[in-house]
Amino acid sequence: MKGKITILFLVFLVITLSACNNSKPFKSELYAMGTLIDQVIYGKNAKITSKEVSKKIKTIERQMTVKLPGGDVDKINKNATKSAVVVDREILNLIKSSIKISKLSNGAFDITILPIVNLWGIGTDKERIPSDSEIKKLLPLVNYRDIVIDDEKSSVFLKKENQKIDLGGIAKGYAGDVAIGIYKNQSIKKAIINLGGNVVTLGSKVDNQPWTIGIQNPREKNGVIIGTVKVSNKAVVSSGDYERYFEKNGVRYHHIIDPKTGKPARSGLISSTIIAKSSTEADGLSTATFILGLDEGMKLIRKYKNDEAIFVTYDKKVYTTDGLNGIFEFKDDSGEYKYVKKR
Amino acid sequence: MLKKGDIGVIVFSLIIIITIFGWRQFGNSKSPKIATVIVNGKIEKRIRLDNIKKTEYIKLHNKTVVLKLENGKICFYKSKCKNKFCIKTGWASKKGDKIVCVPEKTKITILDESDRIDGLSY
Repeated sequence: MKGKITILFLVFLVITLSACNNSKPFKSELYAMGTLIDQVIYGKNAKITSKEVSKKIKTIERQMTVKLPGGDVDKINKNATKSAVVVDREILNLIKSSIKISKLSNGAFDITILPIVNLWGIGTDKERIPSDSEIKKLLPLVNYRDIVIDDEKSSVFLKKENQKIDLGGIAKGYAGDVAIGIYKNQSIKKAIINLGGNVVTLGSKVDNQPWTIGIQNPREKNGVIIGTVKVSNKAVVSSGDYERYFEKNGVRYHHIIDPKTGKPARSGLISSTIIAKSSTEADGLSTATFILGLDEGMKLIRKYKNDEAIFVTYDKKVYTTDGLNGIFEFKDDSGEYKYVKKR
Repeated sequence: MLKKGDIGVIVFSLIIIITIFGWRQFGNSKSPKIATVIVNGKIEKRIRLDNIKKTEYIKLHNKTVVLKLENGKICFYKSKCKNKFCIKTGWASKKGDKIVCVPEKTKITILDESDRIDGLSY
């Protein structure tokens, strides 16, 4: 009798253990920062961690939005030329990171672009093609050198009247890094978060293989890919002319504005993907390289030794940096693209 | 030394374990094409797409979105959102397809248990 009880106990132990192993992740989704944010988290604190991340993302959104009043960024913009605004240390650091990318990209990435972005209104119900004179009038406001940072006071000041900053080009990237930080604090070892196409991974998959991230085909509907990258502990962020745009007389007017011209960037690229340790950096660099184009984009990415890139040109050629050999797999079902690897 | 009764218990236990693992591994292998409609993070509907005889329209609970169904495919038909990106996206018909209306917090996915990718960068 004792033996039977022992065996039965062992059986139930096996069943119980197999039922609560960590191979099934906790999944959550959140609509914030103007997009859909998916989290897939493995481990026993997964649910509580996902809630903490969602809460934090909403806080970041509130602080950084320029669509509603009350956030730190909105206060900076409203006080342009008037006074320096004391902001949360996080916002200050993110503005500093943005300025660093602006400097290295020679102004291709510039958070002072907001007045011009508002003029075009792409992705809103007010989208239109502004006149050259309207653009010319606002272009002097676009200059990251006019952002005055006081590190000690944690304050930000804008030098010119009507000057406005927008962290929209880097905020989702930043939120991805913050999420990874929270996962680590909660001793999560494996997780993936997708913030509207900005994919950030922690660790590897349950089978200890790297995560497979699809790269969107820029001319097909969402979900159709031109290839994959296999990554662990990396962010994969893409920018392209296919996300938000309108067409008039056969011309595509997309949402990534070149700070030099005040018009949608026409650099010859239709998409730019960055693979980097920092999701914030990847976000800023994907925009900057998209604006710079293939040659200048390659030069910029070489300044970031551990970062890699995939560029797709207007004539549907796919270029990658050397570090992606064996990591990027070209898989184009449409047959329209050509993988030429090196420039 | 194991008694006859003990062997019986072991065999019975093994059957239970094999059944559970087998069901987990292969239970979903003959999966039909099912669209899942998720509103604000909660599943609102699961719709089997592979036996629709004629065009159907489904109004969601929030009353701001209408979905259109035809055999094997589903799309946003009406939405109160500003830009109608969801409608412009067109049909979801293959396993793994996803259409989202961010303003209306509504997502349609056709689940693919054997997902080729873990995430999509766009």
